[in-house]
Amino acid sequence: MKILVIEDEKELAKSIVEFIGKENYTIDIANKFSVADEKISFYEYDCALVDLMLPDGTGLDLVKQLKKIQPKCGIIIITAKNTLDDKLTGLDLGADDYLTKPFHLAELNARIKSVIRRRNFDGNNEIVFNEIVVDTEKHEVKVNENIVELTRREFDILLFFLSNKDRVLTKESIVEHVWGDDANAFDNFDFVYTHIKNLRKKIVEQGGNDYITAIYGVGYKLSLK
Amino acid sequence: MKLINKISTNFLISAFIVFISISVFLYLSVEKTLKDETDEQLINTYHKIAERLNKGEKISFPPFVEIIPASGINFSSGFKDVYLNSNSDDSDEPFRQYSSIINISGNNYILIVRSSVIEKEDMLYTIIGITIAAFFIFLIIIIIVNKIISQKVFKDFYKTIDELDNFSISENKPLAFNNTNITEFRKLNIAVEKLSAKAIREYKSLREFTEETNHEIQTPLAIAKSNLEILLQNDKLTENDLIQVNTALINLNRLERVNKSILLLNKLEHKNLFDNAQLIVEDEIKNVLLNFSDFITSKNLIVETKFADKISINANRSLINILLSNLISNAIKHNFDNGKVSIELKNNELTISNTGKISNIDTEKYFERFYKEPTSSDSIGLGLTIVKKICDLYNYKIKYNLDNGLHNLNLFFTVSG
Repeated sequence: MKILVIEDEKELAKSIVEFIGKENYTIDIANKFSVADEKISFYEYDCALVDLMLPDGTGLDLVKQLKKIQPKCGIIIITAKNTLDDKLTGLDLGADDYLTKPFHLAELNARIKSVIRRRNFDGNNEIVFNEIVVDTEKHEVKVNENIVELTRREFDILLFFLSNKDRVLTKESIVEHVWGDDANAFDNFDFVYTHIKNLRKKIVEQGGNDYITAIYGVGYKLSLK
Repeated sequence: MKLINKISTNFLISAFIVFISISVFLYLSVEKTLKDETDEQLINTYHKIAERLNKGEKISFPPFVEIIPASGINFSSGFKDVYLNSNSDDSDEPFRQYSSIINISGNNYILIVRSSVIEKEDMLYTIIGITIAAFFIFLIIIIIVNKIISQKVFKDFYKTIDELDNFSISENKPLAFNNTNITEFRKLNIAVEKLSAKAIREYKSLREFTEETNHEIQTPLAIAKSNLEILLQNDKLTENDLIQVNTALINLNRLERVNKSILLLNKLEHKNLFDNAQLIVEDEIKNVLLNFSDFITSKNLIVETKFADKISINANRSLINILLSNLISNAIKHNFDNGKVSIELKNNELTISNTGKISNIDTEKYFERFYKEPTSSDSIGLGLTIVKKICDLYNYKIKYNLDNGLHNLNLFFTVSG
């Protein structure tokens, strides 16, 4: 998978590359409009992260360009401007997703994977993690070939974990991903524990391994121990 | 008190003093003139009578002419005011008399010549009466003139006040007045026009500054957050390190939320930025409750909903969602475990009541920016300000009160169609 990160803030670009670098991606960085424009015309990408505000141009033009010459490339707009107009224009132009700064890297990672999944129309909507198989299209989870009945929240949490294997996920980022921005109004996220406990129980009941560990005071992590 | 009345009152008070002085002066001068005239006449009459008496004529015409023998009477000649009873009626009447010694054929007599004069009191009353009548006529004229003046002359002034009343600094419409031919009002209008233009300019630049600052903050925040998130992935960190990194992250999230709230508040100044749609309030409330169901169950709250009337409003969906989310999340957040929330829709009124800690909340300041309950430290304090701003945007009325240990919020929608 080839990813293009178009972001003029070098520090941010570096963090993004470091975080998503754990996946098997080939990542290119463009800090300027002109560089991005050049890269788009020379190489093919599976997904592009586009910052709207670039020192020498607007990301919206790059989105247009990408749609024209690389229609298969997934596009995620990242911007510091939280204006509805930009979001609508961006999505109208054919961007797949829209993320406002500041965002959780785990969130960005999950969105990239989701976009790539949706873009690969080879009928394979399955995420396989050892004995756990998730069909993102049918919203179905199987452990050792047995269907596990998960609630919507539990499904979303599992998917978020699987998109961010081997990474520490803070409770806040889980809540924001699963419950959305509104949940930010609250300061007590204890209920996350209940959902994760139920999720782990359901997987173990079907003979699955318990891959999720709690990180005290911070959050959770899914990994092959 | 109206300016014109204030001026008129002062004017009338001075006019009153002038009227009184004039009447006093008038009284004194009329009296003096009359007296002088009378005295002159008396002297004339005296001489004419004395002449006739010397010729041997007998004249007596009391009380106007009297001749008394001047034997042994202590007498001084001259003018004198006397009161005598003339024959016609019983009351004494004022006379002016002149008396002097006259010698008729060797005998001394006192010759008194009198003339009836106007009673001083009568004169006084007449003058006072005329003065008062004149004053009242004057008063009526002033009142009529004032009425005309306030209608005509003050018209421009009241127009200025009306426009000032409706002036909104955020609306980017500087005041502009019609020309008026009254210098003071013209000066006022020019000053106000200048002031409004300046206020709008400064407000705009301040808002732009805030907006820019808010945007500028987003990028460093994003960088700090992402670096900390990467740090969290470091296996070498101890449990304590992780907690510290996470605390930093949590606080950056808080900063981010404040920043976003301020951005939203700024945006709420412009009504035309938001597209409206027809919304059913009941459905929006149900959505919010569904979204918050985990928060409700984790606190084990009982939520009662009573949707008596279907309220349909024309508003922006995101804003109404923010409005309801803020109100309902408050009712959940500031509640006890096992507490109660009741949500009721009736007529065009939404009532949200909840149990919760009773603290010294100042109901007046409830919707002010950054107002916090004295006891709570973690509420950001912008949620309710945003609620108020959204209500202002759509002319909804909102009020808060504490009743029987229940926190009650009443929101009155402006219902469309």
